[in-house]
Amino acid sequence: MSAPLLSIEGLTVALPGGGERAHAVRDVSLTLARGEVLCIVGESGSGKSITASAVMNLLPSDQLRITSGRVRYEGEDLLTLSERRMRRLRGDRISMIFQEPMTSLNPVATIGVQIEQVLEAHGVPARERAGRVQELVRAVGLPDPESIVKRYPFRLSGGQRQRVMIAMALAMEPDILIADEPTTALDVTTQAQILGLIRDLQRDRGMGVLFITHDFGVVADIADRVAVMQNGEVVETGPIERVLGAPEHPYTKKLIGAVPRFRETQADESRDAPILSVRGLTKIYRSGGLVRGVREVRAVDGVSFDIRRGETLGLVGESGSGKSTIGQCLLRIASVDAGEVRFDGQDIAHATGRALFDYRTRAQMVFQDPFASLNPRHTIGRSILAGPLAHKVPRPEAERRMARLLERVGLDAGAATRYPHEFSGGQRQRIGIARALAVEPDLLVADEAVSALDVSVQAQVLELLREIRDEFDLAMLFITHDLRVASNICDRVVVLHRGKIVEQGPVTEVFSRPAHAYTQELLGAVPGRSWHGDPQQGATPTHPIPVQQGATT
Amino acid sequence: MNPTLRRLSRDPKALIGFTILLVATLSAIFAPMLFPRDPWAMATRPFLPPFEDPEFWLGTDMLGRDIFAGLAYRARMSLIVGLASTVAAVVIGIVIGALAGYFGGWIDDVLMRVTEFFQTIPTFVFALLMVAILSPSMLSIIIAICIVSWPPVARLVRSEVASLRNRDFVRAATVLGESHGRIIVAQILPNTLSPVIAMASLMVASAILTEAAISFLGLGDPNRMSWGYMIGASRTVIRQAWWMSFFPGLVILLVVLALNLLGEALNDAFNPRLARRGRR
Repeated sequence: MSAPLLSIEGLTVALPGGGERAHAVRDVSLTLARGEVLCIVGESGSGKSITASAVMNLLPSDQLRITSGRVRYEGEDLLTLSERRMRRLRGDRISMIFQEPMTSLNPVATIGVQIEQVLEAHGVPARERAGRVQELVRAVGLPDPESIVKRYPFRLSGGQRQRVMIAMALAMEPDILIADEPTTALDVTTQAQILGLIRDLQRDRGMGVLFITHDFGVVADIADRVAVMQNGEVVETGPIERVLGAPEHPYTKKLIGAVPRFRETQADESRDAPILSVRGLTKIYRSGGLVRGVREVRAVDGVSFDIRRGETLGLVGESGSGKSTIGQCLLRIASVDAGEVRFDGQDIAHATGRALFDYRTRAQMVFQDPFASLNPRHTIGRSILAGPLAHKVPRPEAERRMARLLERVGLDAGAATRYPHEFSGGQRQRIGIARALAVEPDLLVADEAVSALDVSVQAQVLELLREIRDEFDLAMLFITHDLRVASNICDRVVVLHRGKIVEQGPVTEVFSRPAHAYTQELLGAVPGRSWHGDPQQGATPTHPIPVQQGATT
Repeated sequence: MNPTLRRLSRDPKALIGFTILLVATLSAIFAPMLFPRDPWAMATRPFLPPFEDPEFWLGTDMLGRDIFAGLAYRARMSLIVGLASTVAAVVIGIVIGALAGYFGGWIDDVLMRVTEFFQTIPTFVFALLMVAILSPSMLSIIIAICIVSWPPVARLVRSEVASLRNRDFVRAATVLGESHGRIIVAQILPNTLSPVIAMASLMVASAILTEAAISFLGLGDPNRMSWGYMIGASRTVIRQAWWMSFFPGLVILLVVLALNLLGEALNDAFNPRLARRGRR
């Protein structure tokens, strides 16, 4: 390989005093060659995004100070460049795309204008700009280029917005593209398209791409080389085949071991009568009113399924498929417009008063965002006791239950007197599980319960949920967008598309022999399929490199 | 120590505001000890200019009453009216805002239309009219100020509650079977208090100003003079005796400024990220 395009040498960024770590990033050295995709992979807090921002000289200097190191590009140290020189480089020679396509575009300017502004800022003459905008819009595969440039961001989908961001980043044909989790907020099928686009554009233009991600599946799909970061340090770098196939550092092994994989063996099927049976469940959202006329959206449209005790049913689909709405209808946080929800023989779809109150002890929920699901002003103990106390369980008995549950989910009894902000995401999710179990439910609905967690924590929480389901003989409804997670924990799955069920059955069967075209498309889009096994081909990795198993401690 | 309090104690704005308010409050409480003479009684010759007689530093008014003593005694009226009307307005605002924000739908529609009805009437004229109808007294002034100042609280609380009611921890409480009342009081309201407290300190300031203006126009409680009343009574002689209206005006300015500083400091302390304009 030729001389590196970009080299980061001994980069150290100090954190403000009083934190648990003195450095956000410590002694990081990396190189990026022309025409190469370097993935920086790590969990939250590993310093991967800070490293990327440091290259662009975009760190908030009052909080994160670069204490040592160099970032070399074309013989110059970017860290010592004047703000004016740096501004000329940004967006021209080095450009960046971000995670959140919803907030990184200006909502009050058309996308054509926004792309043009990049060209204008870097001195492209006015008469050339319109043509260049058209070229770029075409290059990133946006439909109908002539009319789409006149649209405002809110009329575009998340994937289309990310394409606009890429068009803006590529406007000046940069040497280096920095992509900070560019597909994390997108659905899998969209993610697969954007990854393909970045890969194609990178090959055509010979760019160097610095790609930040937390997902090893994405790494497997896009990277040439990988750098693994932990607590602000690079623990391992190497070509993708070596790092994924034969990781050396224990942390890399642990991370790779924690990546959920498609399961091969089918669990024993529960033979009990269903505890929950849903028939023709329908939920309609109405908007508008007198002036504009009522608009109806069928968020859930005639959905039917059963769940038995001791069984986990997965509800999978992309955003807008209605999976979360179903969970909310079952728990009566959202009202049911039509259909029947029978729990233990009783229809609870329209239950009120006493019947609904009693149902509240039997069905519980674990929420997605561990930061939003606990009241920040209540101690953990108060949050967990609220349920039992509302249902007139005597306080000593409720406290005994709480102590038992805290221990069961792996927290010490002292946790009860502390506040949510003192816990990590994984711990909060455990607290959320303890809170749900405190009323001794029969049905547990887990709505994206592990989606906000890092992979290693994700694996632990999944394991906890599995154990608890068996111990308490729960029926579990597991709502997720991640097919790998679903395959891991579910016995049966229901695949949803635009509020309707397209396919349902035992998880191994649905994922290895998907009958519906949409299921096939979803499975095809799962990142890193070639690496961690393709369920449609008997779950054996087709990648020539053997997958390292074990190291799941 | 609570981090909000710690941030507050380090903020110079909070310290200045708090000190001024403390001085005003203490002088209101201890006025009878500091100035044992009856503030209504003639103390020395009328129209005594300030800084001449060390016994009457701020001079006397047209009836020979000590202005310094008057300021200390009259702080009571101004502070009580400011506090009482604000407390009442905040309570009404929270109740209406919480109900509207939590239940939404037609309850929200009805309550918000009522709120808007009160908001569309010019506040000062409305307050003046009510005092005139209720006959001037401390209580009627408090009621009048309360009635014109609750709507912004209701709107603030409504929007906070409406955004909190769809948070996961509120959903969790619903799923756990907690009653609506408990969810509002125990889960939602404590999370809305910080902006309300910051707003309340500004409301005390504007209540003091409104009371001063009402008294200035001669509709104040004739048995309890306030700072505004002092200014109002002196306005006819302002060319001969500037100090009679100047010092009460200065005191009002300082107290209102103090409350504004405190309000801003509270706001910063509750939202440290916004205040520092820093990113995470």
